[in-house]
Amino acid sequence: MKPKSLVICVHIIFRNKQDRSSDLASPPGYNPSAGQVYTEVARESDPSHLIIKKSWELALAPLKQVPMNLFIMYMAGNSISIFPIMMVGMLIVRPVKALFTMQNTFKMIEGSHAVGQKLVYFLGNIVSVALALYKCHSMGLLPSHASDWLAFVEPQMRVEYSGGGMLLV
Amino acid sequence: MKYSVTVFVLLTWAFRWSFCIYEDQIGKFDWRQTYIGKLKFAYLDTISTTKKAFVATEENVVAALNLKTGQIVWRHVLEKADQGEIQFMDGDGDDIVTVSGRNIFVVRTWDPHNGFLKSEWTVAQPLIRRLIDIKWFLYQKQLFQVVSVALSDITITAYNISAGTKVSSDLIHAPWMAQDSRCVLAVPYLACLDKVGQEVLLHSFSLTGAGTQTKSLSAFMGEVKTSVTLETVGGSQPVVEVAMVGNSSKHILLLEANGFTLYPHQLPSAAKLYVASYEKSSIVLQALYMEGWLVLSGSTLETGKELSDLAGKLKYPSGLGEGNIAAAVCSPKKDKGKGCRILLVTDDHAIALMSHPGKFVWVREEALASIAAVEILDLPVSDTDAAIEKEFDHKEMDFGVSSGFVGMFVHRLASQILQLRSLVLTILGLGEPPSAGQRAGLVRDEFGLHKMIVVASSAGKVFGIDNLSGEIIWQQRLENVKPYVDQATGKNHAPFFVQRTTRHFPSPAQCALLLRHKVTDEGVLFVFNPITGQPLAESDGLISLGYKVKQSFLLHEGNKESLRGILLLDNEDNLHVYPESAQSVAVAMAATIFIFTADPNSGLLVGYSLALSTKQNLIATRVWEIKLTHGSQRITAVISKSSIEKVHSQGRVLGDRSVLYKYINPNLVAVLTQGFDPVHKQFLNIYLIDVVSGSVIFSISHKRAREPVHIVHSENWLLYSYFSDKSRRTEIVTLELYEGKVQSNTTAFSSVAAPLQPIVDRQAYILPGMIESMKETITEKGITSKHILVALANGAILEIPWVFLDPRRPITVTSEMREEGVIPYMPELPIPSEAIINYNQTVQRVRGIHTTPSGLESTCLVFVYGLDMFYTRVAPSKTFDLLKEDFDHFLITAVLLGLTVTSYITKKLASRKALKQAWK
Repeated sequence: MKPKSLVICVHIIFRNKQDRSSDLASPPGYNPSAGQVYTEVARESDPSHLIIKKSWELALAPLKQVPMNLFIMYMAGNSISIFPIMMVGMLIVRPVKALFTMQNTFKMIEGSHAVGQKLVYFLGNIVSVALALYKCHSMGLLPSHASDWLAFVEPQMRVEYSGGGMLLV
Repeated sequence: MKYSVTVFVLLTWAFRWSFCIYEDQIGKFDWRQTYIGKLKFAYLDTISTTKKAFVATEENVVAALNLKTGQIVWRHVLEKADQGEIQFMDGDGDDIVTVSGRNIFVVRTWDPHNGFLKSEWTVAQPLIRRLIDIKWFLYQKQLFQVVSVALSDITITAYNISAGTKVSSDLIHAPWMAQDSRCVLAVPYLACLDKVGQEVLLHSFSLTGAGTQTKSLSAFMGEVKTSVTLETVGGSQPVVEVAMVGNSSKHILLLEANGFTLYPHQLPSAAKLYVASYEKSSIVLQALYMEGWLVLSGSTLETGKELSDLAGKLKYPSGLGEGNIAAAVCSPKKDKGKGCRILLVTDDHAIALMSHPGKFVWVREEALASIAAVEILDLPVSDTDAAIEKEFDHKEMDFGVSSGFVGMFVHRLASQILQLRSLVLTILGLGEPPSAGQRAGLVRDEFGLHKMIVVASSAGKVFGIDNLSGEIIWQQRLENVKPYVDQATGKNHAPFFVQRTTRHFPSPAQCALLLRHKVTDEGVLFVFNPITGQPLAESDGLISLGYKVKQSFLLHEGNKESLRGILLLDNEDNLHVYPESAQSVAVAMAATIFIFTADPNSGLLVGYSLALSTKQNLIATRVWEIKLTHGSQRITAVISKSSIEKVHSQGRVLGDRSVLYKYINPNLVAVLTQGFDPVHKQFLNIYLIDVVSGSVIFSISHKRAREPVHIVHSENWLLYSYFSDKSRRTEIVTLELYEGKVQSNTTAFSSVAAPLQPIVDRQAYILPGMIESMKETITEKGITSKHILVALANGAILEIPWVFLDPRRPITVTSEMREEGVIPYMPELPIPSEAIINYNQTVQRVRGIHTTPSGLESTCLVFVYGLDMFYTRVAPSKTFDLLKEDFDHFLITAVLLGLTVTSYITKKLASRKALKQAWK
C-alpha cells in the first residue's frame, strides 16, 4: 500500500518538527516566532492572495484574447462579405462593451494591485479595439483616405469671369 | 476568350444603365415634329383622289403634303448642301420630276402616290465659259434644259424623263445676250430684256418650236426712264410681268407664238400674281396686303373681266409675313361659283394653304426647320404660390416684424389666412380670375419637368414651344433682322441671353436676343418675355443699337431688379451696357470681367480686360493676343463651357483610394484650327486656352483629319470627333485634365494666380457612324454622371455613357485599374440599339442638340433640332430620385392598412385571452 506509507511519513515529519521546537532550546539568534509570524501572515492573507490572483486573471483576459483575435483576423481576410463583417463586428463590439461596463468589472477587482490591474484591463481592451480598428482599416471600412472626404470638398469659387467667342462682324 | 466575354457582359450591363423605354412608353416623354424647310418649288395635284401638294425646298427636301391637313404624306431628304440643291421640280399627272445638284445634275422621277423613286439619271453640266445659267422645265412629258451662254447662243436640249435619253437639241443664236441680261422662263417661252439705246426690247423665244419675237416696251409703257424688271408669273400660261423701278403699277403680258398680248389693266406693283387655269380659260389671281388683311381678286386673263365670286378679303394671321402665291388651282364649287386653293409661301418661310373664298386651311411654320438659337426656361409659379411670395415680399412693412422665428410664424399665419380667403372667394366666385398662364396650364410643376422652349429661327421668327406637348404657344415675327453667320462654318447663330429667370416674382422673366439689321448689319436687340412672347422694350421689342457688335457678354449678377445686364463690345472696342441701369453693377465687377474675341480668318485671339474702367464709363483694354494660325489655316470653332454647369465631385478616386483632383478651369476655351498642308494633307489643331491670362494650357495636332469636327467641352474634359482620312472612319478623342493628387487652392480658382500645368489623360476611339452633332447631358447639381448625346447621320441619337469614352480606360488591366472601376480599352465604341434614345423616330439633318437640367437631379431634358425637332428626357444614372411609373401605390397602401388593422385586432384578442387566462 504505497499511498498509506506516504501519509504516515508526512505525519512523522510533521510531529518531529513540533517536538523539536518544544524540547530543545533554540540556538542563539534563532527566533522561532519569526517563522511562525510568517506562516501566520501567509495563512491570514491566503484569500486576498487568491483575490489578487483572480483579479489578475480578470485583468489579463482581454490581452490573452489578442493572439486569438489576430488569428481570427488573419483567417477572415480582407474581402467585404457577411462573415468577415460579422467577425470584425464581434471584434469591435466585445471590447467596446467591456469598456462601457468597466465600472461593473472593476467592482470585482480588489486587493493591493487593483490600480495596476484596472490599468491592464483597460489597456487590454484598448489593444483589442485598436486591433479591430486596424482590421477595419485594412478592410477599407474606415474613412481614412482623402477619397472618403471627396464628397465634402466644396467646388472652387470663381475669381474671374470670362466670355466672348468668334467675332460677330 | 474568357476576357472578351467578360468585357462584353460589362458593356451590355453598362448600356442597360442608359435610357431605354418600353413599348408602351413611346411618345410619353418625347415628341417629334417633321419639317421640310423654305419652299422653293410647288406643284398642286388635284386630279388624284387624295389631293396633295408636291414641294421642293431649300433644305433639299422633296415632299408631298396632304392638301386637307398640311401633313407630310411622304418626304425625301436629298444630299446635303450643293450636292443636293434642288434646281427644279415639277410634275405631270404620273411623275414628279426633280433636278438636283451642281456640276452634275441628278434627275429623279418620283411616284406621286407613295414617293417611290421611279428613275434616276444624271446630266453633266456643260463646261462652257461665259455660262449665264441653266434653266429646266417640263413640257409634254419631256424635260428641257436651257443653257444660256453670254454673247453667243441658247441651247435647248430635250430629254426623255424616264430613260434620260436625249430627244432633241436646238440652238438659238443670241449674240446680244450679256452676262447680266435678265431672262426669265415662261414655259414654253424664254423672255429676255435687251436695252438698245433708249429702247428696251423684249425678246421672246419659243423653246419648243423655232420662232423669235422682238418688240419694244415703249409701245405700251411709254418712255422708259428707269430700269425695268421682268418677272415670270407662275401658273399654267406663259405670262410675264414688266415693271419700272419706282413705279406703283405693273403690266402683265401673255406670250404667244406671234408676239404677246397685253393684259388690259395695269396692276399695283405690290400685288402678287398667279395664273390658274379654270375649265378652258385662265384666271389671273391677285393678292394684295392691306393692314392685316389680304385682299384677293381674280379676273380672266384674256379679257381682264373681274370675277365677282373670286373677290374677297381675308384676315391675315399676325404672325405671318408677306407671301407669294406658290401654286393655285381653281375649280367650280358644288354650290355654283368658283373656288380656288392657293398655296402661299411667306417671307418667314411659312407655307399656308388658303381656300378662297374662305379661310386659311392650314399653316406650316417651316421657320422651325432653320433654328439658330434655343433656350429652355422654367415656367412661372402658379397663382397660389405667387400670392404667397407676394405676401412675403411686403410683410416687413405690414407687421414691423423683421425676422426671427416670431416673424416667420406671423408670416405663415398671414399667408395661410390669405390662402383661406382666396379659397373662400373662389368657391363663392368672387375672387380674381386666374391668370392667362394659369388657365393655359403654363405653370411650374413640382419636378420642374414642364418648361418653355424658346426658339429663334434664321427666318427672323421667335417661337415659344411647350416642352411637353410640342405645341407652339406664341410666336413673334421680327422685321428687318437676320441672325449672325459664323464666318468659319457658315452656320446661323444668334446670341441668346437670359437676363432674368422666372424665379424673381413679381418681375417677369426677361430674355434678349442679339440679331443684326438686314441692311446695315448693325446690332439689334430683341427683348421679350419668354413665357408670353410679349416684347418688353419699345413697342415691338426691337432696340437698334446703332453700332456693329463685335462680341457680347452677359453679366453674372443682376441689378436691383435682378436683371442681368448685357455688355456689348462694338467694332471700335467701345463697351456698351444694356440696360443702362446695369452700368453700376458692371462697373463694380469690372475688375473680374474678361472678354475675348477670335478672328477666324487671321487666326488672332484677343483678350480684353475691364479693369481700367472708371465709374462713368467702361473701358475694354487689350491685355493679350495670340496668333494661332499661319498660311491657309483658319480658326473654325471656339468652344467654351456651359455657364450654368455645376461640378459636384472635385476629383476622381483612384484604385489606391487616393484622389486625383480635377482641373476645373471655368475660363478654359477650346479653339479648333484647320488647314491644309502638302505633306500631312488636311490637319487640325486643338488648343486649350485660358482666356483670362491668354496662356495655352494644352495643344494637340491631328494629321489627315478633316471635318465634320464636333467638340464637347465640359467639367475637366474635352471630347472631339473628326473624320480620319487615313483610315476612313470617324474617330473620337477624349482629353481629361487633372491637377494632381493635391489641390493647389481648395477654395477659389483664379486663372491669374499660379498658372499650373494640368496632367492630361487622352484616348481615342472609333465610332462606326457619321456624326452630325454632339452634346453632353447636364443636371441641376452635377451629381448625376454625364452621358454624351451623339446625333448620327442616319437620324439616330445615340447616348454614350462617359465610362466608354473615359481616357483612363487602360490597355493592360491591372488590379488597381479594376479597383478604380474603369473598363478595359477597346477601340471601337458599340452602337447598341437600346442606347438610341429616339428609337425609330428618325431625326434628319440635326443641326444641334440642346440639353437643360430639370428640377430632378436625375433627369436631363433634351431638345434636338435641325430639319426636324425632337424632344425627350434622359436619366443618365437612372431615375434614382423618382418612383417607378409602375410603382403600386394601391398595393402598398392596402398592405400597410391591413397590417395596422391586424395588429390592432390581435392586440385586442390577446388582451382578452390574457384576461380569460387570469380567471381560470
